[in-house]
Amino acid sequence: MPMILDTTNKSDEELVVLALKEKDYYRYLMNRYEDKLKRYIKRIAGIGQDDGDDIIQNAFIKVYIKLNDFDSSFKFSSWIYRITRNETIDHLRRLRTRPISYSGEDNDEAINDIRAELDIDGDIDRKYLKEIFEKVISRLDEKYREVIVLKYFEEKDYREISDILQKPMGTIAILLKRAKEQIRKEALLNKILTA
Amino acid sequence: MTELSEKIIKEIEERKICPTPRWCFSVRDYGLFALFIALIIVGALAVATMIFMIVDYDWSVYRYLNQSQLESALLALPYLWLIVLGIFAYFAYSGFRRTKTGYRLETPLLILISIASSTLLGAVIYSRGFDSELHEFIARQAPVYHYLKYDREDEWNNPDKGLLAGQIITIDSSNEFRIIDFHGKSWVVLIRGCCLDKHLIQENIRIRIIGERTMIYENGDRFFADEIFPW
Repeated sequence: MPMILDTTNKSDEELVVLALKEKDYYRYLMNRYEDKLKRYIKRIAGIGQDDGDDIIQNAFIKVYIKLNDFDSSFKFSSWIYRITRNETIDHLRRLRTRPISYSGEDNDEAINDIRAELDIDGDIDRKYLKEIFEKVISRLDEKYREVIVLKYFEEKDYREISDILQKPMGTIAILLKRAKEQIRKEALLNKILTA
Repeated sequence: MTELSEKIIKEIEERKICPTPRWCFSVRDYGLFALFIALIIVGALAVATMIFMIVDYDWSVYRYLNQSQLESALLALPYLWLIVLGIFAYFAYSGFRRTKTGYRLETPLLILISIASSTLLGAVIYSRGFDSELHEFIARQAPVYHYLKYDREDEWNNPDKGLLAGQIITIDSSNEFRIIDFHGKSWVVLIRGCCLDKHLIQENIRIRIIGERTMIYENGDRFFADEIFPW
């Protein structure tokens, strides 16, 4: 019978320490990240739910095995995102396939952020804008799509993106700049942005 | 509790999965760091050898070997060691990349750090007495190296071009002595255009001679010495 504890005030890092002593605490970590990671996998790989469940299951088991490797000078969320991302890439490799397309759920905040950064007219129909963005993000190279997803949809800062993708922050800034340039170009083509 | 978390906890219990002990990760981390240091040291040895070879190169011989100064400079470059330094700097870079925070450094900076560390350490090794014995030791350990490196002895074993070097075995008179060159051949050296320096011309001393080969005699080849230098 699983124990029920109030862990709302505990940080991820504290839960890691507790999970190393008693595996039942690991449930709480999984509960915190299950939905976020499922969305993340869907956004970066655009795969079906069954594959997504397989990936997240393997990722959670890997995280548990590697708990002692977690360095508290990093954010736990960056670490678990990194392992999930690597697991997703391995899964796609095993299937010998590339990410199908961006498959995001409605995320008003992310769309608003991108719209504000690209200075897109606020009067454009939201539904149309969302469709265009989904199309544009799907067309982006994987490396650009990843940073866009992490920055605007997962709301990670540069340091976190750098820790998840294991790339220097300077490289992240360059990738983000180029990704925005590509989106801007597509936005111009789709006439949702004027030159 | 979600269905998935319950399923995973059940799987962990059934498969008796445990977190890998911390020491395993420490061994990996320290191992990677030790590898980085070891690669920097190998790179440093390459740099020390390069400095030694450039300093050891005899810049005065090119005139006698019909080489231009450029040809001579190209010959003096220790290509093999430059390649060795490049390879080990690359391995050091990729090893460091795999450390916990190695990815945080920009690639050009990391490569620069690898090369600069090897160069600095190499300069220290050289200044602390990297000598020809160690150079020869390396040459013995890697036979192919002999064919790739600049060989000062070979360079001075060119009697037809007026260059000769070897060890003095006897002093016959005030203007004649015998040497054995680095290939074991005996020579009678006649002093022609220079004075016999008593401090330099002593038995068992190794010298370099600039001059001219003369006729072949039964009791050994003869060589007129115009200039004599210590080896």
